[in-house]
Amino acid sequence: MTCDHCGKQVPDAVFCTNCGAHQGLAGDAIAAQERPQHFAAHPGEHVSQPSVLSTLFPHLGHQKLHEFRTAFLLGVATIVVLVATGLIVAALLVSIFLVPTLYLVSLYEAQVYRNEPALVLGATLVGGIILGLVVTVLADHIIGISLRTSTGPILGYTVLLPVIQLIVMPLPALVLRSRPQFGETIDGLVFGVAAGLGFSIAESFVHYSRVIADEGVQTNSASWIYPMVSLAVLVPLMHGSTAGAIAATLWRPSRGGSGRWVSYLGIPMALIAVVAFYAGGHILVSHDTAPLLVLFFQGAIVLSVIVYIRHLVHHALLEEGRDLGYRAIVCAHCHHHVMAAGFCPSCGAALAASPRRETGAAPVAVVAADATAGART
Amino acid sequence: MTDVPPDASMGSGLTPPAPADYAGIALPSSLDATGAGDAQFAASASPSSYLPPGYMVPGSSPYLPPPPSGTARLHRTGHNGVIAIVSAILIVVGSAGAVYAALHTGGGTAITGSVPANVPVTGSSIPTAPPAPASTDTVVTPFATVFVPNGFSVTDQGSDYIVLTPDGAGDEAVGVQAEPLTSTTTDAELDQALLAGDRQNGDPSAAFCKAKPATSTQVVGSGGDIAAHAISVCENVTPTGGAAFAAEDGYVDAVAKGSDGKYKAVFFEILAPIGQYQAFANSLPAALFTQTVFTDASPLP
Repeated sequence: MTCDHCGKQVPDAVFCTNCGAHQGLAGDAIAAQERPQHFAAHPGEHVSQPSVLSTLFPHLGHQKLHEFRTAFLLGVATIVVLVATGLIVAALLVSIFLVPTLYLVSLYEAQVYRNEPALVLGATLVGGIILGLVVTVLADHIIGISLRTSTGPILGYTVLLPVIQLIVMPLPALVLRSRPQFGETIDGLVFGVAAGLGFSIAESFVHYSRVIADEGVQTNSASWIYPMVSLAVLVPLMHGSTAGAIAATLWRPSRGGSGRWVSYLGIPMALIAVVAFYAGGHILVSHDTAPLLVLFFQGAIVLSVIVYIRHLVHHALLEEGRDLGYRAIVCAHCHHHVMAAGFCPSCGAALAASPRRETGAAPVAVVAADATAGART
Repeated sequence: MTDVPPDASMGSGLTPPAPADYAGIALPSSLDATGAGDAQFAASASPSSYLPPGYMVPGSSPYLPPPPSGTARLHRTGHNGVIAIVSAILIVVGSAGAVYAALHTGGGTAITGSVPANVPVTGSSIPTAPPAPASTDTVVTPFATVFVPNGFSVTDQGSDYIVLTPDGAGDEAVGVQAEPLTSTTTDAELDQALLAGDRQNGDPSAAFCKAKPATSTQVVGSGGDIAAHAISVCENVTPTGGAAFAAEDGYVDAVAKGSDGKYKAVFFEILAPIGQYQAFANSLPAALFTQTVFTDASPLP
């Protein structure tokens, strides 16, 4: 059939395998072509759905994503138990490593690094850790601490330092920008997130090194639960998502297409988010706001960055998935064995957001026919 | 074996398979095998009308039979492998932390020690440690003339407070402060107010350090020596920006009376990580306490 939108001859299926447009919705161009109901990395979700895992782990299919979600919840439950039993140091370490460990396993599972794991992990995670150590130690020495609420340190920690972090965190990922095999926007996102999580590990270690070194088994650990939730969930997600957003924005080869407005918003969005996260959180704390509300406030900011990333990635996948060659794949999302180009014709998932391995094989008949066609020409 | 649903193997003919009804995936009418789409599909079923270039095999559809054996598996980790791997890593990390904490039962549970060695004790005018070399650096503020020890710098200052930190960085700091009081009239009440402030502004679990009861001492006001308390609060300090550490927050605090007859709090605050507090406090020269003079502060009658 001819695709309603790109005009190419494509297999008769729900989605155009060339441009990803939803077929049969010719009367509604936006619903069909931009398909906001079907996030290109996870077609079962709306683009604006604030789903953290399917955004920051875009290469995982439904089944694996469910496993990661379960592992994450188990990790959080472990932290709560450790805090409740007074094992603060253990809880701290689990909090620091929970999200980065999940991400490392996801990189392995989807083989996002292709055949260069040492290069990618060294540049992103290790690079992020090194930069995180340098920036955090220097910041603590330069800005210092204050015994009371005073303007200098507050501005330093809530505005200046987050902005510096925002500039520094994506740098390790951007080193890979020139590698031809990592030319897609979604690569920039994943590498940026990995660098941000590396930064988060180092920052948390520096910040809590005193506690790790000095804290024994605590009997009064109730007050630790809020800092621990922030450490385990909010801080790594904030660092990972903002670094990923900036890396993905800078990664995009062009600023054209239907999503050009999204590209321009990346850096301003990240800037506003980090300042709101830290400065807004500080203002709330200084006005005696309940800690739970502060966590909700900061969580809402993280989710706003997540939603932005989804729009950025969605448009990038739709634009970059065009005009790719056909090959047989097993779709990581719907598990159909299909002949596809840029998108799974069955569920509409962008193949760029699939594991980076060949998972299908052309049936004998097709291979034979191709060989015959090749011989004729 | 690659995980492929049975319906995927049905699609090698012209008739498309009945696709699974996955959540969120709408089916176009041409694939709706049970509805009116059948007729429409049949009418437009010429292979050349829909098969893409490079896929010109009459009778094929996008759906292929299961991939042959030997094809790469869809997932690199097995069923629930992710949960197993992540759990194993976190168990190792958490166990290491628990063992380390058990072997290094630090300050949170057993605080011992005394007030800063060089804080003047009531009835004794002789510091317990030799005085540090005299500093020529004195800072005059609206609330006090503050002695700045050698090796310290003023890192923060306001109309009613000043913060001194040792050169070369670190988490140690000394504050000198004065502020008006409304209802507090005794040193004991001031102790409680300072603890409440720490709880409100930092760690809700902050508490007076065990084995460190309040000690009587004195500070110097423009109207003479003022009876004071030396107390220690143990807490987790999380400065803005998240640089958290277990700390001891020592106060040498007094209720003084101004020339207008109103009460005011005058105090030193000594903050350091819990493991370094005693050494840091003891390193403070006696002159910090004896040569810092609070302005317009007299002992209570």
